[in-house]
Amino acid sequence: MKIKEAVQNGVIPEGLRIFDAHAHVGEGEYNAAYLYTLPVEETLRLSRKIGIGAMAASSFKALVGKGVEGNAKLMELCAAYPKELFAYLYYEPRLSDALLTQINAYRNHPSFIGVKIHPREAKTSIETDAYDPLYAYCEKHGVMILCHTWATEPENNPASFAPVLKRFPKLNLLLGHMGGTYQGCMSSIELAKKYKNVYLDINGSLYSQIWIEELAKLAPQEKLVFSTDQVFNDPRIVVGRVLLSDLDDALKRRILCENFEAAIGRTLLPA
Amino acid sequence: MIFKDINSGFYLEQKTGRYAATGTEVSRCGEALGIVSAAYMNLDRGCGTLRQTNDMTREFCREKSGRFPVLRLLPPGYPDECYAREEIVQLASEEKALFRVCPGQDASPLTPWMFGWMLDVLTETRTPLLVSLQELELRDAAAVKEAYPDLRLVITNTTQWMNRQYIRFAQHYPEVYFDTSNIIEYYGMENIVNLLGAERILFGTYMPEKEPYDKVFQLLYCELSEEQKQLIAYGNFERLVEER
Repeated sequence: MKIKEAVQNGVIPEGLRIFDAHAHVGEGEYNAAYLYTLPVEETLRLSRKIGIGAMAASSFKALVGKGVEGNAKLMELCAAYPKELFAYLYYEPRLSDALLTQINAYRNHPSFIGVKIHPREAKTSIETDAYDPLYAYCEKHGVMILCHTWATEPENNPASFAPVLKRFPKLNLLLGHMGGTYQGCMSSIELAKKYKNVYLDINGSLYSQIWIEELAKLAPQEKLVFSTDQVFNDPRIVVGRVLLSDLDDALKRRILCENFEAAIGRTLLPA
Repeated sequence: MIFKDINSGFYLEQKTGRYAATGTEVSRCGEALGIVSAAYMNLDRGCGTLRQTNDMTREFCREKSGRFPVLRLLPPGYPDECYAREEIVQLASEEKALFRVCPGQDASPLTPWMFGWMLDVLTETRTPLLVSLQELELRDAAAVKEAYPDLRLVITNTTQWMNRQYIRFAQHYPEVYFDTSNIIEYYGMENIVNLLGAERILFGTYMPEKEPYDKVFQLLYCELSEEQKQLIAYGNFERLVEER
């Protein structure tokens, strides 16, 4: 039975590997809009129910200015759920030395996936050289950076990565939300075509007016990475987007897990 | 489960990025997901006058049962571009038409002074009026609801960045409904139903501007009772659109 058919009948196919490459955890630390908060075990329960085997998350607390503290708390949570929760440690230029030291300390930890940056929240544009210490470190050590991007937000328009990638062409970069808008998606795709280690995070591109079947024609398919942006957004949105689409099942499997595993060179979910 | 879509549309020709864009394509895509009925609007803005544009919607909906026309409504300023009172009554009763205002695109704010007697007619005929939250000034909508409390106002395309406002709006005013097309907040479906009741939420996809897969999956796998899911999936559509 095809994945789409099984899901329509209320069954997530057994053995389907889904890794959420862009998530958040935290308890009430983010409140620009009302955000429903659940304990991490409940978050993981919902994920399991809809087939997500594990997720890589960053800390809300870190996002709102408490980088070191938030990262440390996140690593504690990862220790409690070592097979289901992995960490992006947050970085912002304002706390560069302390955060780079922390990142370096955890770089070889099994729960460590990479580094999260959010230029809008950090109020520091990717167009500046403020992130260069991080880029240099991550390029040297092959560490993945997940960057929030949205084309209409001046601090993190994905097109602004073009000069950065000229300076750091081997950077392992996951473009969060693919820039969100139609133009943001097109800029992201252009970078993913040009640079070997640039990947495309499909959550958010739901609102780009590019359906996923068309996205798979426009973008390098091996660069498309599944993620949900939970617990900011509902994970059922992007799970449904992939599972119920008309993409063929082999491509769905690549997007849902295999592409990200290839990007970071690790097996994250058992076969 | 079957679905009935309050927020669907079509273009007259294929569009870049859309896997489905024309009426036939959107309809076929929906049927493959169990969407058996839908309210459609012609999204093509370059195909003639308002009446010609709406007539294409009506023609598309007449081709097959289960299709309900959503007609773009302009205020009664210029007689040659707007509907007369009798026409609105006739379209609502004979074709089960719905109407949509586009305050931003049409530079026509949804206020009592702007739409005047049209709001009386829609209220009297219990005809749903659709409007996107992305184009709506809620202060204007509040003035409308003060003057026309029984007007069935269906606010589509919500945004999580305004969730505090739109939830309070619906808690304060009766006959305010939301579609699911942009309910993406974490546990958003469950939260909104718990706050407002499942009777206030209608399944909506926003095809072809957006793909429908997320909304079908979200409802199939949300943590609501079967009765609540059925109301959202099709029950509320039947009550508001089909059973007038």
